[in-house]
Amino acid sequence: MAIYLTPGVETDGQYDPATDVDGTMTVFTVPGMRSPHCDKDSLLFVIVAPEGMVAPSDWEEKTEAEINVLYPGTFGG
Amino acid sequence: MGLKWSWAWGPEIALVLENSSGWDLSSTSANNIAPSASGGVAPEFTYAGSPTRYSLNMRGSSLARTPLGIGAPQGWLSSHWYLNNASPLWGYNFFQVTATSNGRGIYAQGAGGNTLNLYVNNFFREQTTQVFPSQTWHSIGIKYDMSGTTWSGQLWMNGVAVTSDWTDTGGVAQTSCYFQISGVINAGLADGTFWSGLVHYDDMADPGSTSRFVTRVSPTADVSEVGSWSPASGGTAQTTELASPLNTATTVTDGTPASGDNVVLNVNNLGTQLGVTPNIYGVTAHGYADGVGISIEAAVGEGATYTTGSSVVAGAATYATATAPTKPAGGAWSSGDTVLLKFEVS
Repeated sequence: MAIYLTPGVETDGQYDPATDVDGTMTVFTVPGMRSPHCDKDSLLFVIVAPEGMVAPSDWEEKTEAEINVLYPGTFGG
Repeated sequence: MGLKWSWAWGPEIALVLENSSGWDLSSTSANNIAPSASGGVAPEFTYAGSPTRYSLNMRGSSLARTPLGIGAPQGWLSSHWYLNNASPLWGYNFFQVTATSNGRGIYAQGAGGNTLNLYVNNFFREQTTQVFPSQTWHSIGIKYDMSGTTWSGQLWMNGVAVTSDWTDTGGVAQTSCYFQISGVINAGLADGTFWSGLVHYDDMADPGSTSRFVTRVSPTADVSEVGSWSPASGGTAQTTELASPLNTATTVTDGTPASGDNVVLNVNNLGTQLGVTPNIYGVTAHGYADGVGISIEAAVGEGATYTTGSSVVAGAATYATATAPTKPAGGAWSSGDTVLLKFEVS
């Protein structure tokens, strides 16, 4: 299970994980992808990737412990 | 606990739904939203023996919203959809539970490869691994709770949970909600999305993942009146005026309405009207009134006992409803029961 901290976008009040390619934000989801937390203020999503997913290059891989430091209780809580 | 509200589509066109039923449609064009029979091709979620029934055919760019505040702050919203086109799903938020106070929602969105995304409090939570192909009926249910500041939502498809039960701690506590549906792709109505009736339960422990038929039946006989109504009670004069479909040209009128004035009709023998020996999980009455300086309420009864809905201040085409998940005096509805429908000045 890979975990990422990813950029997001807000469109008309809806929040989605997104990629930023040359300044163009594109919503990125794949089957089986889950998001246990969204930091609305910083527009960052915690993403749990399904097996085999190739993450966009601007997604930052994290551990559960690292995420729990940033957002207590996200995992194992 | 149990059925809170249900809705079966009839032959009403979009303009009638918009102007006279409490529904709010983003478009009243017959090219965008129409009852199934006028769409040319008419998939129906039905059973052998059913009375004539309809689904609502929608383009993806069009939205239908239930009467405001009709939903409990927690429970289930359930229905079925059929996409009459081979196209994969588009990215519409097509099945939504919406908070009354701020318009935020718990909803399903079409996603790539005929999968679905679930949003809770407008935040993406999960994309399903299961796929939901077109040109077949799918049951859909959202189990939700927006009664506190921690909202929860889970998506169920065809009787199976297809996402986890997600939460969001940033919600605003609600005391009511409403519901929205749309088409799943933006094609003409010959290739549109057909919706069966809607079922709403007010408890997350209720069986919202179980597929149910919602069938519209009309009153069959006048029972009584209080006040002076035109046409007067007797025979089936009021029943004839108030039968489905909704038509503002057929009404009964009380020229000097006073609190307690009412009209009572009945639906004789539910099993006969439904065309089967059914299991019945609730009865919803729908009524509409024009009025000034009065309130109205609807009630569902059996024998001499009623379950009465909320009193609402009448204006133009004001909607009043009541749902009895069981007989008002207790016990499950059964096939041979006769249901009383009462509409009263309150």
